[in-house]
Amino acid sequence: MTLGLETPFPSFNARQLTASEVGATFVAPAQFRELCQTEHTLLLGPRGSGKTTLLKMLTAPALRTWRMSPYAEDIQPAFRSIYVPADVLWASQLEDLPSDLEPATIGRVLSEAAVGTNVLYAFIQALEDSSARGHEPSVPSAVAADLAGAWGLTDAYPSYYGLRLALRSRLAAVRALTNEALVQAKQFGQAHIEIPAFAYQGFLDSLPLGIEVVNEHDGGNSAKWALCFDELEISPTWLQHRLLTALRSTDQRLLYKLSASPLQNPGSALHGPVAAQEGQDYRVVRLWYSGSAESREFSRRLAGSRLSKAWGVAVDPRRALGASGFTVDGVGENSYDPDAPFWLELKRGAANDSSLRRLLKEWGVSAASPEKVKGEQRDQFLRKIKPILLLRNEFRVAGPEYQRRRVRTRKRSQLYSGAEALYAISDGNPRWLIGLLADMLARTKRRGRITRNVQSDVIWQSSQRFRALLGALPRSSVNVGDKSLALVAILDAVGKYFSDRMIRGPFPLDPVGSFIVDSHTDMSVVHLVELAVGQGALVYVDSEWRPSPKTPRGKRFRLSFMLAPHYKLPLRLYDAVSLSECLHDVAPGRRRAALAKVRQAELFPSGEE
Amino acid sequence: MRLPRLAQSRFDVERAGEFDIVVAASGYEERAPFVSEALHNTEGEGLVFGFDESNDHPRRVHNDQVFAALGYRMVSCSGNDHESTAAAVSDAIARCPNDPVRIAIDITSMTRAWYWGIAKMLSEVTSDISLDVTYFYSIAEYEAPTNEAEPAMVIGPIRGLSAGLELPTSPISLCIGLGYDRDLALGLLEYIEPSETWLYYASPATDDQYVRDVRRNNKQLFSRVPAENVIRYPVKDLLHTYAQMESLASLLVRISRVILAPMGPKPFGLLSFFLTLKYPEIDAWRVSTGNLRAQKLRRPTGEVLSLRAVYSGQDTR
Repeated sequence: MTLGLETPFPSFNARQLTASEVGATFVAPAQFRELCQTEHTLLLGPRGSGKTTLLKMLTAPALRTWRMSPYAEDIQPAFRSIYVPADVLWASQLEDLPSDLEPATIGRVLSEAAVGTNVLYAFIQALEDSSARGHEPSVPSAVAADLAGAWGLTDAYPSYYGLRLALRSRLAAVRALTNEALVQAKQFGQAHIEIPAFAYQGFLDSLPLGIEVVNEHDGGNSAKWALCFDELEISPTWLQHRLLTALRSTDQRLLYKLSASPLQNPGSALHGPVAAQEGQDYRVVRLWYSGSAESREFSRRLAGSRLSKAWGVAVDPRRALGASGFTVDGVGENSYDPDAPFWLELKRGAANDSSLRRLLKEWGVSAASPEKVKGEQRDQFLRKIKPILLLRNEFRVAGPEYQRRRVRTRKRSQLYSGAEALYAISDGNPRWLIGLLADMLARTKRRGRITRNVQSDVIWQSSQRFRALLGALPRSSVNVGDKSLALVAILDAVGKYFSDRMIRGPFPLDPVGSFIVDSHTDMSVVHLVELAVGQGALVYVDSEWRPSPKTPRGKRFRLSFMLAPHYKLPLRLYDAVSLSECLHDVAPGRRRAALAKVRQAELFPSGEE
Repeated sequence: MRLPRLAQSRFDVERAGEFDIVVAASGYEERAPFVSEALHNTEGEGLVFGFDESNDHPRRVHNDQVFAALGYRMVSCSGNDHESTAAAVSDAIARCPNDPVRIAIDITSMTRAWYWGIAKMLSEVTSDISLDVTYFYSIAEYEAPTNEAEPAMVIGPIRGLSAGLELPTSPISLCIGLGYDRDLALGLLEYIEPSETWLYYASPATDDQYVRDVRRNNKQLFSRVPAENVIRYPVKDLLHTYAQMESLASLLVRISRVILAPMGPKPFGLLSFFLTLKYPEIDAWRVSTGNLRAQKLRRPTGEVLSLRAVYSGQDTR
């Protein structure tokens, strides 16, 4: 998601920024230190979670500018990095290299040649970036000359610029060969092109050769290099397999830092007796968070840096944004003031909600007499019901019992405002947090404070926009039987399921707010779940990531908190139900009708209706 | 590679002439045979491509009968199969003894794969003969778009029709020819994450309501693209539109990798493909909702746009 583009603020997508620009404003999440360890790493995270930022931050120009910024920390990787970019256009062009030509090896050889050229080009850029004279086209260098020799670029001018030009020519040659092969295949049914030697030299051979040359010129040292591959999930399958297999590499000079989406399917590369093993051969660094607490500190520092930069003074985001709308004083910490906001909320809720009154009675709590509430257990109970109480008070319609089960259409709820709410809603996703703050700042004239109205307005609109974007995502609809099922229909069904049970039904002491992809879930729905996880719309909440050869089945997810304002949900992780249970409403025909009855009975047990 | 010399022409003038080959497509759209019937070409060869898909639709059956009565030869193929359509036209050219060969191509009911494939083949004809081609497009009566956003199910270049292969080191410029489908272009923007986005939309279009629909159904997209990157083009003035597109494309290819994604009226799609022939580093992408889209009958208004493309007998690149 790219939020805030309608504002005059610059782009927040690290892909569109130079490494130096990324370094200038970088606030390091805890994972950056892990990534800087001298070991192979699989960096996993949804879109916008900062994978590209972190990989770019390993490069020399990014580290240089970061060290001069006020947000620098004492983190220094013990290796030099080569950032290898990728994007959907590059991926589509690689895919367009014909894999179905005869002989079948031609398309693959051409694809490998193109990828290899990209890697060597990135290596040259890394050398230029770390060299003071690297960008001067006419400066010849002995290193460049030796690299040209090692890579068969014999006609290249012996400078970094010359090497880059030669590599671009090499890529053009790959395209020309492809066209020739296609024409021949069309005419003769088979291609008979002469494939040049460079196309057979894979980057896993030519890059170590280049590293040897550079290390030798640097005094024969054994410096380590990290090959940082971005967006593994959109790379050709052969490349994914090769890189994941390379995680077993024991070449002391070369590390692999690979970024991918959370449910990256590693195929057989990470399975089987000879596959690389997490912990032994590589480290997994996760860029997503099960709940909101884990990312709070990072979000606080990032928000502080953005606000301080915008206003030109040091800013405490809590002062600028206020406390979360889900924070009310008066519960816990032995506070039993009957006029405290929490007790007023409890009284209001109990007055309108018989199920809450029953629950309070069970726990021996009187909303009218908080001083009588004692005991750690009851404190825990009150803390537990607080978010749902606030949610119900905000969104349940007041009035006769039958009306109270309706949900207010209130949009800009101030529950979703305040510093901690903003951190939770951005889900630890820096692109979202930066976008939200940029939008808020664009609507704020006075320095030092962003009003709750502005916050809740921006958050509501962002939540709406995110859902709209998910509806427009390419390939976000599948055919189930003879009907099409859209990703947003699934998200809506899940959101409604949770919201109904938290707001419309009886007061839940242990609400459900996450789901497990169960074995009854249709495979096409499973694919949509994968898509949603990659986009950050669903968050994987199991405590550990394990490379899975199959599907998200058996795994637990929650809706992104970015969608919480849209579905009127709290900003917390709650218990799980099966996905099939949540999807009753989008089940086909007769089953839907039958299930609707069940839901009705469940929501309104006898005596409530 | 031969690049055509383009000229806007008038349907009433074109229909008075004779063509050696007339190429059309038959589908469920009511307007599918309109141009062929109006041309009433009695001398040359008629070729009609029929979709493998939806071939039992009553209107499709009717259209097939119209083409049969006109003496057209039916070639059935998938809407994605650009090779079969290009080969059929190529064979017809090879059979024609004339020089130049006069060809009429009615893109009205063709898929982008079909007319892009034919346009590419025409630019690659290796013999010395000249080709005098007129592309036709029959304008349809306005039909309202669906209210619900439908995601793109087909997205990307058409395999074999794109020639770009550029290192992912420079930024991406995305030029979208907007249609009126709700948020379809927004999904594309999210998918590609370009550095620069340029929006083209038809205004004046063939119907004022269409322009309003485009603006309404792309509201979020318009709010995210700077106003100076939004370009209106007069849909009936094809040469003017092409000049507008080329002027921008020639700048963008110097600083970025360019994707052209025509999603609106077909003539814009045709012009986009001509641009990729001139600038092979530009990729033309197809973005479509695939089978999810409700079938629209598309009645002809009677107005036809025509664009003449003359390929001389020599390599012009």
